[in-house]
Amino acid sequence: MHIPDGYLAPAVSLALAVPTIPIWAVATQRVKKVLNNRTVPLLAIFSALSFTIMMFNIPVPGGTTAHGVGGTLIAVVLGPWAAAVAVSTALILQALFFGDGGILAIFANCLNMGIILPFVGYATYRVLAAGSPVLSTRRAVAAGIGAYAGITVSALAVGIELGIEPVLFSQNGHALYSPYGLSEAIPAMLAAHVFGASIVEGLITGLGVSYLQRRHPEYLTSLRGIFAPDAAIDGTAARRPLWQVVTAAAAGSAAVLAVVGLVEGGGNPNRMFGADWSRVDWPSVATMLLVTAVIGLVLVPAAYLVLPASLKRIGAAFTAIAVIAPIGLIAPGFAYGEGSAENVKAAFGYVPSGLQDLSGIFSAPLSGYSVPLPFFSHASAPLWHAAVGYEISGILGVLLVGGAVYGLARALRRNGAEEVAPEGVGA
Amino acid sequence: MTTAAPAVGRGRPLEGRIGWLERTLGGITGNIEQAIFTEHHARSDGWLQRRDPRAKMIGLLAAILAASLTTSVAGLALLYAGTLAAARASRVPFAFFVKRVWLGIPFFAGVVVLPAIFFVPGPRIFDLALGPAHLAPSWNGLAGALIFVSRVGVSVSLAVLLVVTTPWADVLKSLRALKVPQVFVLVLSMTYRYIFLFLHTANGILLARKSRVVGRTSGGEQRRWITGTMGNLMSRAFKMSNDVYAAMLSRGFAGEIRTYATYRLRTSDVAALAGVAVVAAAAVLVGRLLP
Amino acid sequence: MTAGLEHTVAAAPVGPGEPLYDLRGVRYVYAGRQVALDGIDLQIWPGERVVLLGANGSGKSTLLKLLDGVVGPTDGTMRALGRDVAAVAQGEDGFRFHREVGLVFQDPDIQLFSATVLDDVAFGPLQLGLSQEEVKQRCNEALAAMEIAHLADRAPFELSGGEKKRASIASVLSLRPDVLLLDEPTASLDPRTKWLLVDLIQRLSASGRTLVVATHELDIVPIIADRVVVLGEDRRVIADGPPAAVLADTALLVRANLIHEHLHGHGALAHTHPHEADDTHHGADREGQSGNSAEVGSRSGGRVD
Repeated sequence: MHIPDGYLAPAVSLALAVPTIPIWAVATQRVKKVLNNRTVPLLAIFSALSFTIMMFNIPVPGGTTAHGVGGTLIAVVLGPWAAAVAVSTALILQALFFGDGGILAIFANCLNMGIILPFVGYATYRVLAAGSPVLSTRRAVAAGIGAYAGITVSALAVGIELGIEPVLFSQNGHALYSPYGLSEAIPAMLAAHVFGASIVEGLITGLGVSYLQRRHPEYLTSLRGIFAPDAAIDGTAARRPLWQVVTAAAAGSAAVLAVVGLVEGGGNPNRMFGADWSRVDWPSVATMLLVTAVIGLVLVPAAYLVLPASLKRIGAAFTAIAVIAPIGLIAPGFAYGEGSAENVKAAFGYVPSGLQDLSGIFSAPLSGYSVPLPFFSHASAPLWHAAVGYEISGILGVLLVGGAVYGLARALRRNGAEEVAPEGVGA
Repeated sequence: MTTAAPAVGRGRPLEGRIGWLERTLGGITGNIEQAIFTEHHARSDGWLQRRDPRAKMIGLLAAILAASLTTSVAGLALLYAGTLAAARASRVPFAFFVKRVWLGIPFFAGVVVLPAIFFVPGPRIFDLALGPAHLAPSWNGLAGALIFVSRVGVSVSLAVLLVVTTPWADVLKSLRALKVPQVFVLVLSMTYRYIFLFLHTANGILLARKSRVVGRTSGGEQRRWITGTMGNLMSRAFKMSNDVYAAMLSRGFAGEIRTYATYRLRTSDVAALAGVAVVAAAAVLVGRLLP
Repeated sequence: MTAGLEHTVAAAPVGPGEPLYDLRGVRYVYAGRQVALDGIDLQIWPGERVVLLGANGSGKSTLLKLLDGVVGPTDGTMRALGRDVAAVAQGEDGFRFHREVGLVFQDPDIQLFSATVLDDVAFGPLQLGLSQEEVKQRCNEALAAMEIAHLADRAPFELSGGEKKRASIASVLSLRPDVLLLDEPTASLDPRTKWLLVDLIQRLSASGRTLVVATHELDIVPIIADRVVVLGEDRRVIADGPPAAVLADTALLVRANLIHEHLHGHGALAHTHPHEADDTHHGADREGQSGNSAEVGSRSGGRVD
């Protein structure tokens, strides 16, 4: 999510300073008014904390790890203005010293993660937690959902910023900066976050707030008195079963997705995410989903059982991704029906542009390929035939890339063990 | 945020035993080592190390801006040549400098840009028919990818060069020259200071856990432990901010920030800055003249 | 002797016959719940060398913060250098007060908050609004006094424990305070650095400075103090007198939890004798690690409620 230099045109990088700098100025003033001379040490130490939180890898179901930003957690405790300054400071440090994110891109990164993230997160939290006691489970859940929403919207902002590059800046038909348009960059960023990084951010924030409720409730009450005097209501802690929390989180993310989809579709529910849903043949979609589900139920456990221990979890996860890949076929305007090869490539090509997403790697070499048999690719074949075709090519892709990567890594490990350079300077 | 590293290099599938704990520890020690490495090189006697940090900062910004503005690979090559010359004159370990940047860039920018080569419209370099599908990279796609990857690489090289030739305190002071408000500079400097304290503390906590945990634990337990650790760090952060405030108060801090400046811009700094300006302008112009 | 140590004390800010510090029934309650000091009566006179002796959690650090005017008492009256400390802690005249009183915090990571050692040493003089020339001179002087001129451009995270401690003291010396307060100056240091610091402390007090040192290390007390004030576990003053008399009173030291009865076996014989509990080996190390601040360390230490 840290945009490096070179991805954004300088005009975009600098244009993003126009909203960012005044917001910083207001944030500093707001924080100063409340904290007086304590501003400097408090903000500095919370920036350092935010930096440290960004270092923590969290195990994510499925075998990978991800790390959070902690912006919403800080906003819940110190208020969104202080969080904006603290996260921005950490981001500036990462750019200037640790090479994480570009220098000209500082304004973009600070706007996305330092401003949009805590404010959206905090606003969502306030709406969901309104009136509930400080120590109630609802507050912790609200904070988790707020964090989820915050980072997802922040990812959407990154997608928009990257997506407008080829529209605005091209020369002789080739892109000068990030080459993916809005229709690729936005879904890629959203997909990479909605199912991964956002969950992590939501989890650490929700669990973090519930930890504070149990161990240091004074940070949620006495500090609230300083930063947001209107919001403190005392109460007692109550435990809530996990399924309720998960359901609430799922409902929250569905709501966020729905809103994002509506915005993209110009407010028309039939054009969610800009696609024309009224042309979808729902019965054949249902057949396809059923077939996909059956294949998934067979293949994923099979992969788990067959693969060697070290590859079990990741292999199963990749298989699952390959199995669900054809769901993209539902979206009209991408593949089925119009069936243009360019669109198919675009639809699959965008997955790797989920900049850092592991799952992106597999589909690139086979982008747009289906199995060259009329059963799968015939224009009038039922949707589920095409889906199976995609699945086969997806799984083939996983096997090919997985094998290549595995072999490469083995070779590298054998040869290159002696070279140990300090980490983090590079991109 | 998914891990910002190349998925292949650090991903779990190949390193079955490397879990979040080792990876976090690795990241933390990496940062600490890098800081020490950097401070070491920043103090060695080289051409960039002798320049006034303000001149260095402005020169760097000019160069990165030029790298962003130029529309040709030739312009980027010119900038990179200048960067390499400056690195050489500043005794930055050459292999480190080149490898560090170009081994990382293909993973990030390269993987991102690869599919674009195939679906950008335009004349094709070759067209390999595989059944109904075509493996056909386009010249336009390739040109776009080339300029994109070089641009990212040059920008990162420039940032790395600034970092390894300038002590952190000087980077901060030069921000003042760019009219960044004093309060931000003070917060930044203090943040940097306390990052290391937190990193050391987190390192200690993680090592303590590593030394005690034998066997596998559930993901839920791990996440609870991590949030507990974060909560613990947060509560330390509160205490520490109170104590640091007392320490500042104790030395007469009354809200106004005064700092100590010892720099003087010399002729050689101005000359260096002029040199950078010429190279940067040339890089941008090359793009305009030879598209 | 270097210039920084040879500081001439200005005319005492209090009239003749008046104490520098006058505490009457001072209580300090932390965060509205935790009693850190409970009814302290204490006078300190100009030029005295006082050691505050007490186990972890006896309130030494809090008392030093009160003496430094960075916090005010919760209850009771407290005057320092002719001013009301409650008002000073509210920011009234704090500027002049902090020119005269300097506190070296126990944790160097709290004391050193700037990017480099030089920035930290210059911080105090700069806040006093001195000219750049004067600041430069004072910094050089303080760095030389602590023998760390070569570390001026280093970042605090690059320093060893002993170097950090010296940098901490230099950052206060540059203010040229008449009253110097030191919180556990020798905690968690190796023996060589510890005795070097003890030597420095002796020299610092030679020019008539008032010195208040909080410690729980009994071996340095007779060297650096004319007077010992013992804080008990009830967070009150339980003894006040010359070092020789206080240190000879085993029963008192046991009561203050500074030493404990220890069972020893010598062959077939077994006997009990007092033993220093909180010496450099375990107490100080533990505090140094878990602390990050005096308060955390002392509260997690051996407190008896």
